[in-house]
Amino acid sequence: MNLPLSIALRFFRRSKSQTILIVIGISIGISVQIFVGLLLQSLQSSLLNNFVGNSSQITIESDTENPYIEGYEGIIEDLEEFDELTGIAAAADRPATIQDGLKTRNVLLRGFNIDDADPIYNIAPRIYEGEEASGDLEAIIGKELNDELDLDTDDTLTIFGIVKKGEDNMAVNRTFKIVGFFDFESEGINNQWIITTIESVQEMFNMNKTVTSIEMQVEEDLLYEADEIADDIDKELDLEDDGLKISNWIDENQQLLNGLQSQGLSSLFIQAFVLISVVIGISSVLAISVVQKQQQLGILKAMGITNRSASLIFLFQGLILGIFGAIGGIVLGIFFLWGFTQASASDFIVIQYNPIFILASAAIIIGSSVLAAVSPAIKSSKLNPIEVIRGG
Amino acid sequence: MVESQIKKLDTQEDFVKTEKKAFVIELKNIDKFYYTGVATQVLFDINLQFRQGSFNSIVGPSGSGKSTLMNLIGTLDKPTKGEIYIDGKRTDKMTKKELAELRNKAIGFVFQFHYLLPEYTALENVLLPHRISKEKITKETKTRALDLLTFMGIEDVKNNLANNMSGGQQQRTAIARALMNNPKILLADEPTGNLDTDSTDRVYDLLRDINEDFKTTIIVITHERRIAEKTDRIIEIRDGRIHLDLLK
Amino acid sequence: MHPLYEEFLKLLENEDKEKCVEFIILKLDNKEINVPTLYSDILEPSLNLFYCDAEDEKLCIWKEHIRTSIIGTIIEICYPYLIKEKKERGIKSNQIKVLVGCPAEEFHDVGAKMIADFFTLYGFDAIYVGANTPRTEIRDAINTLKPKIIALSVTNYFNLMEAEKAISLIKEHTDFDGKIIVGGLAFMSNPEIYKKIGADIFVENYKDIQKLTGEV
Ligand SMILES: Nc1ncnc2c1ncn2[C@@H]1O[C@H](COP(=O)(O)OP(=O)(O)O)[C@@H](O)[C@H]1O
Ligand SMILES: [Mg+2]
Repeated sequence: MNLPLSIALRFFRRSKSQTILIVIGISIGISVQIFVGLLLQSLQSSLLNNFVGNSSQITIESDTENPYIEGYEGIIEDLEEFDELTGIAAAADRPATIQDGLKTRNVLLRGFNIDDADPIYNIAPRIYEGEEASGDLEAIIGKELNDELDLDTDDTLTIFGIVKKGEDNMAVNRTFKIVGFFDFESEGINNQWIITTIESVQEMFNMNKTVTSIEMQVEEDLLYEADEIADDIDKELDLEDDGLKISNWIDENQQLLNGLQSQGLSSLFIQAFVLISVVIGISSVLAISVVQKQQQLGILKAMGITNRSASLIFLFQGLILGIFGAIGGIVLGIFFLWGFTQASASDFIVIQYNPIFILASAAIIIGSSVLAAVSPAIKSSKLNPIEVIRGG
Repeated sequence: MVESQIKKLDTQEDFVKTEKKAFVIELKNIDKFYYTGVATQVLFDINLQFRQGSFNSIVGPSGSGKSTLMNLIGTLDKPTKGEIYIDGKRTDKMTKKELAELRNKAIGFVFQFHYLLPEYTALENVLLPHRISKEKITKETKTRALDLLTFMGIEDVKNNLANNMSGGQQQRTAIARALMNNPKILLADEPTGNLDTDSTDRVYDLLRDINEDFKTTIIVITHERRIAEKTDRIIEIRDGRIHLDLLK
Repeated sequence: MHPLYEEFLKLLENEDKEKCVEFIILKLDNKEINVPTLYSDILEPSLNLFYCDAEDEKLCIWKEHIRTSIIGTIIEICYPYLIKEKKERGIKSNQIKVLVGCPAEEFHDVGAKMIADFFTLYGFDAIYVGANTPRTEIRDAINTLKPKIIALSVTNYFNLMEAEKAISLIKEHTDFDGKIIVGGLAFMSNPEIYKKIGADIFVENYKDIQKLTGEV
């Protein structure tokens, strides 16, 4: 084995309990970093998912009294020119009510073209029972709503709505066949949405060939550029002239984003400070070690070890502490997170054990540990054997 | 009878006249100052030569500059003035790397405090100089290390850590270690300063044997009469100067 | 080489004290040899030979000691012969005091004894202070006896350092103003060192002492 590495290991082995304590200390520090990092990342992505994953990222709606968009198919054709968009779906949404015994419940009847909506809402995999609503007067309802209604597939549900006819409001109702149940992991949606086909909504509410919105999803890595993409679309399509307006998730959720941003920043700060204290810890432990081992270093130098090798001993020690600290820290951190999810009742946060983050953290920790060893290594290199030998 | 004996031994003059190559160590006009606030001169114009294969002792009161002189010879320190040659090569101008290599190959050190690496066993300590030379540990090197331990009479404790050896055993291990790379020069600074009488005698018999069997040039600093009178040459240092330079 | 040397050496090598002593007395009685020749041609060479052997060949020290003690006995026995010889030669006392000894730690005193005898033979008033004489004792003896000559014998070369210290003590702490003579095996390899240790004269062998009589 390489001599400096072997010496580094022997130095550690010689003071086993001290070394174990140091590694535990480093591991705990790093576990905090991993824990905080992963937790906040998961929290953020859960939040985002709830706000963005289950809704349209860019939406075109009417800007006038009349909520209906005419000639939407032409608009969709134009939108298809935009490569940034991964999904474009027209939606015909109307507020409606249902009767639950004596109670009246407000719902949102959403008419989608299933094939178009799937890329945005990812509906199919969220249906836990039955199938998608594809035929006329077929509908699917959310989990929480069904907890109240207690329906089975192929049961029927009558939905009531109001159609404006001139100055008057006219009540309409249709009986839908329930073909499936979905779970969007959001109580709001699961309680309120009833998803059916565009045609069913158009027919029930006498909308002719109009829709109420065109919803879009952008490529994942362009998520935070949704506002710019929306602007581009606005300019290209002259939406204003058609009495339409375009909105995007960023402008809608500015507050949330600010919150997330400062949360992310503070998480970064915490991680950085933890890392800094780990580095300072390693550095001072190694600095003490150089002093403790100066007799050995002196005799090694008298025997002709080069200054380079003498400094490598401590760089290796830094590396070894970094590697074991990283492994221990990651294991502990994940264990803490697991414990945290076990303990917290909420399943709002889905912990994502982001391997890139974990590997990057490990790399940064190991790199910083080696950096922490630089100053002790220089001390070791500069140590003059004569001082040690004279000192006795 | 007496005349022939005189011929056999070198006179001081013969000594100087001998071919340069025969000197494994040569010091020319060495001054050494220490700077601790004020400059203190510790060695004054030292001129010395040591023959290949000779067994020399340096004696003198403590503080007279013996260790300073030895550390200069061992390239652990540099002279303030003057030139030092080992094997004909000037050392006081060498780079740190060259010095490290020279120390590893040509010089073995034994100090008063045994300075074994407590992290390693006796055998591993003996192998260290070889490992420092970056050469592979072959079967032969292991055999050599074991032979040295046997030569020193400590093969029984070869797997002991330093803490599990007596002072004498540790010092003998340190000597074996100093000999591992078969150096031309063995420098020992009061190697028995911490040993009892028996161990001291043992160590000196070994030094004598090393000198005879391996032709190693030995310089030993000592306070012990018994030791010095057995060496071929006694150099008495007083106040940083060579006071007497005596041949047996 | 003296014809009796080989013969004596054989007896000595057998460590046979009785035969050695008998042999020498016989030769002295028969006038086959006189004391100075005995000292310089037989005793001194055999002594040096053993001393060197003991170092080089790791010959047992005890053997060296037995031989040295035999020679010591012979020297003691020689004293009456020495006085007789002095008278026969008609040598008068010259009243010059010579202090003869060995420095501290120097236990090889046979040489010093012989030196003292030589001085006696040549008319000096030789005072032998013995082996292993601490330098302060030498100083005190000098201050009391006021010798004109001091002779120090050094065999082990390590003791050259002690001789040097003794000489510098003498020079500093007595009003001695005579000659300091040194000799002994220790100087063989260091013929020039006598100057360095502060001595005035180096006597390589006992015959040199005769030359001194004129010089002092
Ligand atoms: N690094 C140093 N700085 C200042 N003075 C020193 C240093 N090393 C040694 N000395 C002084 O040099 C003198 C000689 O020391 P040293 O060579 O160790 O003597 P010795 O080995 O003969 O006892 C002493 O007076 C000592 O105090
Ligand atoms: Mg010293």
